Amino acid sequence: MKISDKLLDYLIAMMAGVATYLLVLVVVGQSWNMFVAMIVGMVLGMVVLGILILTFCRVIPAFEIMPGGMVITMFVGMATGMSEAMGIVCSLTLFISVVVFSLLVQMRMHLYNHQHKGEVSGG
Amino acid sequence: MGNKKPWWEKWDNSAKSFDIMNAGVEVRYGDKKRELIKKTEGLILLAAVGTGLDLQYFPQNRKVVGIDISWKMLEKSSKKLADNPPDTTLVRGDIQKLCFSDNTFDSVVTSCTFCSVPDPVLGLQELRRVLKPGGTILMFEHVRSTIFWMGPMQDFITVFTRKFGPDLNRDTRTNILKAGFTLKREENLYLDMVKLFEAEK
Repeated sequence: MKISDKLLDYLIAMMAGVATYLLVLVVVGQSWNMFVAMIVGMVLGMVVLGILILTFCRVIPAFEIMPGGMVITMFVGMATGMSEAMGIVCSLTLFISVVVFSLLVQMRMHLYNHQHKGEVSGG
Repeated sequence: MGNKKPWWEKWDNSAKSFDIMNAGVEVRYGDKKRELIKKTEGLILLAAVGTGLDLQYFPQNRKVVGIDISWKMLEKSSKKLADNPPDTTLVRGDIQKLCFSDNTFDSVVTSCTFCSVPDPVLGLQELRRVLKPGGTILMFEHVRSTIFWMGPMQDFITVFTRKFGPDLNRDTRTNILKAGFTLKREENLYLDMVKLFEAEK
């Protein structure tokens, strides 16, 4: 895999996390029920993922964006929704956590790929 | 009453955006496809041709028959035939019920085909029927992952994607074997989700 492809993967992963975080902050309010906020956060994450796939499908296949992207947007959506509803985590801490989490998920996807790629024995 | 939509209507609907939606596949896997298709020989069946994105990978001296179930996809692929393609004939047809005689083709190529055929084993059996004995089927396919969390996730997404596009959770390796092919080679291109298969009749 080319370095530029890898960098693009990390960039998209980060965008998925940050965009979900920002969208959930805009939509979910502090008076929300925590469970509702979590579900809405998750749904908003899926919306962000859909938009990212449509935006980047010219350069990256949708089936490469989807697995990591789904984990990132779902978990970031849920966590941001819940913490926003509870008002317990400072925005900067959460933002940094989102960026780090997104990059770690993408790193794990590259590791999975490294483990699985190549000839399958018994093929 | 009697107004059930044909299963291929979704492919007619997606023909317009198909090239854009799949451009990334060509960017990342174009070289792998070219390498795979180079192994073809004689009369080749390209099933399904779609909008003709894969025609660019065939060497000029090949003779190709491209089939697809969608007229709109075929319309788009016929336009690509003007851009220096191999010798290609386009035919509208269903992979599950091919209109060719037994033992017609020397090679068969599929590219993201068996994520969209309603009965993949039947489709593969038909491809085997029209392939000459000793002929090879070369496949570029995305399949269900065996990674513990990814497979179930693909099952979940497929509930939605199959309404307008492909199934993401096909077990194509098993289907190839069920159809009676001898699997010669399997290569993972991305995770264990995007694969190349080479099988023989």
